[in-house]
Formats: sequence, C-alpha cells, structure tokens
Amino acid sequence: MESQSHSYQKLPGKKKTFLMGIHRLWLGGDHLLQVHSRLGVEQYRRFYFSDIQSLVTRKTVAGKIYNALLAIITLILSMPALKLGGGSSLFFYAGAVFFLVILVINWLMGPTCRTHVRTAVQQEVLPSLYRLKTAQRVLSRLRPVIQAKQGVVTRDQLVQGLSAGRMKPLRPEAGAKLKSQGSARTAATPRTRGRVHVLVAVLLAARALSGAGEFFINHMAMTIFEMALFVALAIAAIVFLVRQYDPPRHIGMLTAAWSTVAYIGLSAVSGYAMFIGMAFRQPGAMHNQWKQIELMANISPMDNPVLMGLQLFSVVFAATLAVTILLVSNSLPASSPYSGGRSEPMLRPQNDGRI
Amino acid sequence: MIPCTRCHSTLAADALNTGALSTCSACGVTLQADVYPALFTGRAAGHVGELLRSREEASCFYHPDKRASKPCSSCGRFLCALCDIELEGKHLCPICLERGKSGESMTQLVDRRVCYDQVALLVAFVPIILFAFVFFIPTIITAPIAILMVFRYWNAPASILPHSKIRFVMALILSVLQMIGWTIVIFNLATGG
Repeated sequence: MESQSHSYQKLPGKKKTFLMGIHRLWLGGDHLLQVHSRLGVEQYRRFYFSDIQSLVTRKTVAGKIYNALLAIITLILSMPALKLGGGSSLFFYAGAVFFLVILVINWLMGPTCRTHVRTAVQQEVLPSLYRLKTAQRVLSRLRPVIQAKQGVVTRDQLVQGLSAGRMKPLRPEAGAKLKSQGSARTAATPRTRGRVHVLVAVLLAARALSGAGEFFINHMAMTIFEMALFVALAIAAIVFLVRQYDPPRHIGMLTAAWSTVAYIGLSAVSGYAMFIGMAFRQPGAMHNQWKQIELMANISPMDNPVLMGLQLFSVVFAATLAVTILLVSNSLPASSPYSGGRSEPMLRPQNDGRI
Repeated sequence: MIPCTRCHSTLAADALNTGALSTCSACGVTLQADVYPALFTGRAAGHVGELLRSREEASCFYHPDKRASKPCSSCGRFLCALCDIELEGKHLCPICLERGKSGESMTQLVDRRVCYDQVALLVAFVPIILFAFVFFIPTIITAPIAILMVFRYWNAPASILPHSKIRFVMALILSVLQMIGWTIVIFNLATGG
C-alpha cells in the first residue's frame, strides 16, 4: 500500500494559506490528488480520471487588484521618502522598495485565475491553480491522461450532447426551498447589489481623501467633518456586515465587510490612544469639548513620523477597501446564486431511462 | 452543459475544448474549458442484489434473503450485489471497508494524515524563532518533546505522498544541539562559571 506513494507526481502550482497551509496537486495513477497541508496535517481529496467531466479555468481580476494596490502603496511610501531626510526617509525608502519588489514579482507571475474541476456530483475549486500560466500547463498535462482513460470528445459529440441538454440541476428540492424563501434571494444577490456597500465605499473614499487632506490642511472644520464621517462609516459598516450574513452570501463581500469593521476598530483604538496622549500633555483642556477638538485639529501628521505612518496607512487602507468593495460588487453577476463556499451547486445526468 | 463559473450561463460549444483561452459569450470573461466524455455518459446503475431462489443457495451475510455473489476479499464473508464494494479490483464488505479506512491500512481511502516528521521539525524549529526574545527558554521543554516524537513516531504511517525521513533527522539534530546547549548553560550555572 505504501508503494502507492511513489506513483504520485507533483504538479505545478502551490497556494499558501493561513497558518502555513499549502494547497498542492499531485498526479496519481488513476486520479488527481488535491492535498492541503497545514502544521503537519495533510488532507486529501481524490478526483478519479474516469469521473472528471470538465476542467474550467477562468481569468480573475485579483492579480490586477494586487498590482494596483501595491503600486499605490509604493507611491504613497515614496512621497515622504522624497520629502523627508535622514533616518525617516530611509524607513520609507525601504518600505517603498519592499512593496516595489513584491509588485514586480506579482506582475511577472502573470494573471490570476480560478480553476474548477467538475464531476457528476460536485464542482470543486483547485486552489493551487490560481495563476493562469500554471493552470494552462497543468490542464495540458492532464488532458492526455484523462483522454487515455475516457476517450476524446469530438466536436459533433459536443454539439449533440449540449443541444440534447443532458444535464439537470442535482437538487430540485433545494431550488424549490430557496424559491419559497422569496424570489429576490434566488434571482439576485440583493445584499451585495443593495446600496449599503456603495455607501460604505463612498464613505471610505471620503475618509481616504480627508485623511490625505490632513497632510496639507489643519482646520477645526476638517476635524469635525472627519468625526462625523467616522460615525457614519461605523454605522454603515455594521449594517453592511450584518447584511452579508443573510443568504446568499459572497465571500468577497463578507471579507470586505469584516475588513471595514476591523479598520474602524483600529482607527478608534488609535484615535483613543491619541486622545489619552493629549490628555496627559494638556490635562486642562479635557474639561472643554471644544478645546479638545481645537487641539486635535492642530495635530498634523507631518509633526511626527509615527503619526505620518499611521495616517498614510489609514489613507491607503481606506482607499483600497473602497476600490475593492466596488470592484468585487461589480464582478458579481446579477443573477448569481450563493457561491460563497468552495463547493457549488451540483449537476446530475438526466435520467435516460436506466435504473 | 458546462456553465460559466462566473455568470453560470451555458458556455457555447465553440468555447469548449479549444486548448486555448476563449470567452464566455454572456459575461465576456476569459476562460479555458476542457470537457470529457464523462459529461455525457450516465452513471452505472447500482445493483440491489437478487433474492434467494432456493434454500440451497448461499445467502449474503448481511442480507439473509439475498443471494451471495462474491466473497469479501478481506474477511471472506459472502456478499450480495448490494453489499459488494469494488475497490481497485478487490471486493469488500462495508465493515472491512470502514476498518480499512479507520485503521489507515488502505491508503486509497485515507483522506487525512498527521505527518509526525513535519510536526517534530516544527516543534524543534519554531520555538527558536518565536522565543528568541526570551533567550530560548521554552526550548528546554520543546527539544526533549521533539526527540521523543522522533523515536515514538519513526515508524508511524507517514504522508501518502513521496517522502523520506529527512525531517525526522533534521528535527533530531536540531533538538540534540539544543539539549547540548542547555546542558552547557546549566553546567556553567551550577559551577558558577
């Protein structure tokens, strides 16, 4: 039995996940083995060649988003590096170079994709095939192996089989159950197509802009505006997050919602820390709300490298989140069913009279 | 039909089996789809087993009213067509299949394995990185644990993938070096040196 281990060949592609997890694909004698390894525990999933109906790899925009984000971060870090002198500029230069290197590597790795394998009873994602070049190489390698097992589909068979409509949804009762919950949930993704995510994106963009404006303008009106913006963003983000837990969910929007809430939490903590610092330095002002706002308005990110770094991070993160939310929501089809998990609704062959 | 994995509309035949990138006619996304004959062949019908026709016929161990068709390759019990599970040329009963899976004697059924060589190496190596700021004190505990793991699990079933014992060896070397280091430290402390 252990000799079977020597028959596996490693396929190109590797995807790292949280806590040192790795997804890899291996080619066995009669099956494709998907391995997820984390902290010494390996989990296996087999797709037998005789069962594989299709392999579909679809290009995604994730790579472009990463490139854009990395470019923005590099530019943002380059600005203080050029403006400041001494040790502080070295810190920002190092950061800019670091992100530039990652950007170049990401660009060289090519476009990203998402690959699905389909059998009669499942459609699963192959996480290790997330770069288009790698996925195409693996598909080219698997094609002759699967064809050796199953044969080749001719063009006529393809057209005939497709026009005969041999495939039906596997779970009509599940579809009926969804329909009974309301047609809006089955037809569209109302939680992701609603207005809340747009409002959150707009508020985040406004926050990024006002944060960037703080580098140049320090005024009480700006501070009051930012406080009001923060409260509005906090409320909108909570509503946004709560709505993502109603089905159908989209994992991208859920992640964006949690990221927004985390950003607000971090902003609140850092704002509170600044307030405490201010209280220690100017205890007399703490009894007067207006005086507090005045003091906060006088603080500029340019006064302190730490404040500058925090403000830059806040601006970049807010802008990134805003763009991400809009991009993800635009990429969702209007009639997409729930596809938040790895497995997607299954198909089964049409009943052709055989028991 | 093969749906587009983005918009779930049916892909046209022109977009399938091209060997290169094509486009979904509905959403315009770039994709490559390879389709195989399994898409068009229905699944083989399952067998429910034949009923006994006479008392002289051998019956299934699990279904006394059904005719036995095969013996189990593992335990030898008679099996009807319903109980017979074919796996890589062998005929097994459900109990032996479950035993083979839970006992990990059939690697083709294994879906999860703890790779103790990787765990031992992590136990030996990670504390050095994590606890450098506290003078590696926790390694006085983790190093012996790693050594124990190496000897305890040396012959345990490992990954079903091609592997060697190199991680065990590295964990052992690292742990032994840590133990030597601690021995020197403790000796110096004890002798006041």
